[in-house]
Amino acid sequence: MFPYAWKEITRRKARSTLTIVSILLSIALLVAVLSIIEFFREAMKLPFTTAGTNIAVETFIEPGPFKKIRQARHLGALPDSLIPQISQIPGVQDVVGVLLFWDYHPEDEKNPMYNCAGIDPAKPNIGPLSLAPAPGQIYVVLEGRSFSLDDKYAAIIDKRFAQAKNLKIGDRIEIGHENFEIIGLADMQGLPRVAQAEIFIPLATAKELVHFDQPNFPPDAVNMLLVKVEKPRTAEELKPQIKKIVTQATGLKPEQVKVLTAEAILPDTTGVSQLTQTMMKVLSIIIVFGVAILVMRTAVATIGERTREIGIMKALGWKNSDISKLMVLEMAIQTTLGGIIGITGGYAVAYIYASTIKLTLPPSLLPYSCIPAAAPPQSLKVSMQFHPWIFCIALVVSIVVGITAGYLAARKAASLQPAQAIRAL
Amino acid sequence: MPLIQLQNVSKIYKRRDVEVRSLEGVSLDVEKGEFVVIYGVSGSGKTTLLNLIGGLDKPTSGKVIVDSLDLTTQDEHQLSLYRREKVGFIFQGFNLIPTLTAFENVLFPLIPIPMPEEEKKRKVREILSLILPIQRLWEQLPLELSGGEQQRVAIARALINNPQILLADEPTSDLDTKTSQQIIDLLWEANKKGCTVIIATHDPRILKRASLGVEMEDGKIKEIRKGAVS
Ligand SMILES: Nc1ncnc2c1ncn2[C@@H]1O[C@H](COP(=O)(O)OP(=O)(O)OP(=O)(O)O)[C@@H](O)[C@H]1O
Ligand SMILES: [Mg+2]
Repeated sequence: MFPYAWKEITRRKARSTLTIVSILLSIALLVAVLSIIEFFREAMKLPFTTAGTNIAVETFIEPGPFKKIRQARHLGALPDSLIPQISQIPGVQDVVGVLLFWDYHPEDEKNPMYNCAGIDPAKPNIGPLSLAPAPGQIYVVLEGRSFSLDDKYAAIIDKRFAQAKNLKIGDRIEIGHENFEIIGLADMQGLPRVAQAEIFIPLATAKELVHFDQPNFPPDAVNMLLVKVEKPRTAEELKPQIKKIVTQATGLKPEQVKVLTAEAILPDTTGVSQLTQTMMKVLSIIIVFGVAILVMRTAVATIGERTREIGIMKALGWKNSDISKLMVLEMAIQTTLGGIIGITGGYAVAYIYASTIKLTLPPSLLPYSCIPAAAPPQSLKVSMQFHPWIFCIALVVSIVVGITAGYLAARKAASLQPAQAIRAL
Repeated sequence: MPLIQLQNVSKIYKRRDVEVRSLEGVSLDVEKGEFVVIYGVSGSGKTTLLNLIGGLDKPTSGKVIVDSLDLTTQDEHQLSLYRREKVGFIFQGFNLIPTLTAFENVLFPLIPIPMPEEEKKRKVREILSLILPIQRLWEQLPLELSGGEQQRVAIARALINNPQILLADEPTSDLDTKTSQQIIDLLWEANKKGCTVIIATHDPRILKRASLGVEMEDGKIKEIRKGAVS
């Protein structure tokens, strides 16, 4: 039956082309929209994945007085007691505190402000120096060693910072009023991450330094919490609970508490709001739907032209089910063909878009002073992924449209009286 | 028992308020192996009669019984099986499918039948070598064939599933004398091989071959004659 179906398709060139092209365009649109949204999501996840986390919590207050050390940007204190509290929320796997601060170096005329982070040596897999590689990817390459639990005045520094300042392992660097030994150099692989800094020191030491210069900042507090959840998909659902707990514990206004996830930074970063995303999806689905109706109408209309031929089929002993098979086959071939070309085209468009667009991390995730010694990686350039589920959806939609159209056409064909059909001219 | 029995068959078409009595009270018995010729003026109901026998249409009243099967009580599915297994049609005009070659047109009734592809092709070659022996013509489209050649293809197509009954509606109307004669001979040969042939025609040369002549007038049988009509 296939060769015959194919002949029929090539015979009605105008109609077949219309069907194939309309399916092709609508499927291409659908695939492009879904792929690009998915690409945005991937890109937004990057700064979190590189830090081995899903959610970043921070508060926003008036900055403290100008001393040698001050907390980075306008970050407010988050008491350590929040860590066990948030850990207890079902679905949360781990919580880690980070203390981000700036250290003023008047002797360094070019970049007097060093970006520092106190990180928890007990949890090496979460944080800006996360040593846990994602499958197939390594986000931090460390020269030297990482922190041991009893390191106090030890520092790991960003490799680019080290190059800019001509520092190497074993050298010493002054942070606050203390002298630190450089034990490691971290290569960030040019990838952006939350809680990024140029100099990393043990969290306990950082707390002492900050409290010394900023007595208003409690000694048992951090200013960023990184939350790792069990299933990345639930990050969005856990946000309200975390926000409530933090708001209560700090006594700040809700708008001063920021709970950031990949989803949440997407609109700021891409300029595409959640609403626009939804509308793009809805629009492409509506277009696919409209095209589906068009294809079905065309398929049914063709039966009118083929009345006589269908009469002949019936007279020659074709059963209605045989005619159905032919119709369904004809339509399914056309829509599958259109679908496959559409998928390829849509993916190509998305790919080209993804490789030309430049996405940069929102400022809320970059605790850098305005003139860092080593500019932090901000670009969210990730490569376009091929998502089998988008491919499957698009293919299934194309095939279903074809089968439905064929089925409707076949139903009309079945209703024809064979004797009348043969008389028709 | 006759192979085909028509019992008081009427077919009435309703177009808005107008009733067209296409057949009225027709009763006819056809024995197996007969060469039946139905004649009569245009509009007298010949095509309607063939359609009823071929299970393409149902009578308004009366019964059509073929090989002990009452066609009037069969549903569309059973009727298509009946047509597939027992009947071969040659339509008024040639009614070949224009995009298919001669060979493919003959193969056409076999497409939906579950049978190995090679077997189908073998059957087509077999029948075509009898009816359209010039092999070069097999790969040509209907438009590239002469009227006589097209009608040969139509006959081959009608005979491909070894029907018991061959129904031919004006098989020679568009052909010249010589070609008509060849077509009649082919139908005659099919009849000699055991096929019951029923032809609707105006062509007097066919009448000469008839074993049963049926004259139609205004949807009724005017006269039935045994043996050739002269
Ligand atoms: N579908 C239909 N609707 C209405 N009237 C019809 C229909 N089919 C046939 N008729 C009428 O029934 C009558 C018999 O038609 P039929 O085609 O059987 O005649 P025929 O003897 O085959 O004529 P011809 O020699 O011209 O082929 C005609 O008057 C025709 O107009
Ligand atoms: Mg007729």
